[in-house]
Parts: sequence; structure tokens; C-alpha cells
Amino acid sequence: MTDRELILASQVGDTEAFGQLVTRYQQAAYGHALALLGDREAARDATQDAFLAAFRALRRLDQDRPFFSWLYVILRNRCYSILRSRRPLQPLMDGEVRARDEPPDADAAGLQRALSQLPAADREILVLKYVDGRRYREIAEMLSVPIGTVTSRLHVARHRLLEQLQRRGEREK
Amino acid sequence: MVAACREYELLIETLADGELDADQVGLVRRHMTECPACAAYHAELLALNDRLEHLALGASGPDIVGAVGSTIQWRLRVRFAMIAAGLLALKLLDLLGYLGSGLTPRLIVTAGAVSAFVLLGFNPLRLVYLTDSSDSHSSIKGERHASS
Repeated sequence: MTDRELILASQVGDTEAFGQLVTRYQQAAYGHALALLGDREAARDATQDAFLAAFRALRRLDQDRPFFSWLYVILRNRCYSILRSRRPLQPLMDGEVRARDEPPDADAAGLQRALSQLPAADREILVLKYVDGRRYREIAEMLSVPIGTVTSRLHVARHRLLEQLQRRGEREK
Repeated sequence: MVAACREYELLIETLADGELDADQVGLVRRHMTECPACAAYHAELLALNDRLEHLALGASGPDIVGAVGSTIQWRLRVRFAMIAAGLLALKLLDLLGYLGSGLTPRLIVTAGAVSAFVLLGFNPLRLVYLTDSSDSHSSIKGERHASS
């Protein structure tokens, strides 16, 4: 079934159809929550809360809008609520990150450590653009900001990341 | 970190992201043939983008399908329990003589219908999925096993 068909079924209360949407998007949602929060348990809770909130709000979903873009707004709000609550978060251990399809390597771990030092907003925009591979326009719609804001946030986030990587490189020397 | 020409910095970043307008690509590329600093900055950005694109944020996440399905079912049941409790309370008040004699049956039916409609989110079809509790829960789990 397509997303549109699952959404239509879910809107009349079909929990099985909604379960298929959850299955389809839970990993992507969890990955984004993990990028924002840096804590596995908090990311799992945020992901679960976001899907539950999405089920309640499904009537308001414009059926022409991609489901994940809409879910992401809910998820993002939930993650920032957790960050604002200053709930103690358990940082990811070095062994818990890896490059795609590759064994654990120092480069990926170093990059993840540098990312973890950035503000959540920086991590978010870098993940949306480079890990997710989204276009500026799509990111702008998801974050409800102009495209110019996306490019400027990427500019700042990228520079901060490069500074972190450079600092770590100097420390290792 | 390489320092690029200030007026070209954002253009080079947009080019590295594959988002630069076609009419500006030629301009930036021509500049980079004449400016080693900007060319080096572009290369640095491409390398960073490549590293980020190959990054996976942790191992596979938890499967939350079952938990989400269970919570939705539980919430629907709570809503129906509230409706039932409200109707029982009305009946009890009637038995105790606190309500007018001709009014109670109509009041109970009306109150029950309105509250059911509201608590179901204005969607009576949800009744189907409430009563289908074990099957729908199994179906959600089945989807999880099928997809894994």
C-alpha cells in the first residue's frame, strides 16, 4: 500500500494501517531523534511519542504532504521539549556509531564525537542535508524557514564542525 | 580549515551541496581555476560531505510498532470506559432519585451518544478497531515480523 492509502485508512482508525506507517518510518524517525538528542532511550521515547501524537493528529494531515515531513515536525518539537526540560541524557558511547556498511572505524567515531559537541540545531541541519540527502527546499519546508535560513544555518554548522574536527586533530597530535 | 574568498564562500558551499543555479556554476568553477584557496575549500567541503553522507547514526533502533499499537488500543479502551462510567453514574443518580422522572432515559441515551461521538474523535468507525483488539494487535506484530 502507498503512504496515501495507509494514511487514509489510519484516519478512519485502522491501527493496522498505522502500524505499517510506523514500521516504514520508525528507523528514520529514530535516527533523527538520536541525532538531536544523542541519547538512545530519550530518542526511543521521543520517537514513540511522536508516532502517538501523529495518530491523534492524523485528521489534520494534508494528504498531499509527505508523511515523514509532517511527522518530522512533531518529532522535532518533541525532541526540543526534551532538550528544554534538561532531562539528563546519556551520551552515545564510541562503540555505538559506525559508518554505513563498514566496520567500526576511527574516522566515523571521530566525526560522531565532533558532531556530538555541536548544538542540537547544528546537528539537525547537517543530518537533514547530508545523512538524509534532502534538498534545501525540502529542509526549508520541514523546518518552516526560508531557504536562505537553511543555507546560512548550514554555513554556520559546517564551520563549527570543521573547527571541532580541526581541534581534535590538533589534540591528537 | 581553508579560507576561501569571502564573496565566493557561500557560492562554493552551495556548489558542493549540488544546489547552485546552473548560471552560477560556470562562474564559480572559473574562479576556482584561478584561486587555489577556493579550489582547496571546495575540495575540503566535498570530503566533509562525503564523510557525513556515509555516517549512520548508531545501530538499528528499537522496534516500537508493538508499543505504539498497544498504547493506541489502551487509550481507546480508556475512552470507552469513561463513557460507560458516565452512563452508569447517570443511571445511579436516577435510581437514587436525583433526576427528573421523564427526563432520564432520553438524557442517558443523548449523553451516551454525544460522549461516544466526541471521545471517538467524531469517528464512529473506530468502534470496529476497538473491538478487534487481539487481532489488530497481532496484525501489527505480524507486520513487524514480516518486515524484519
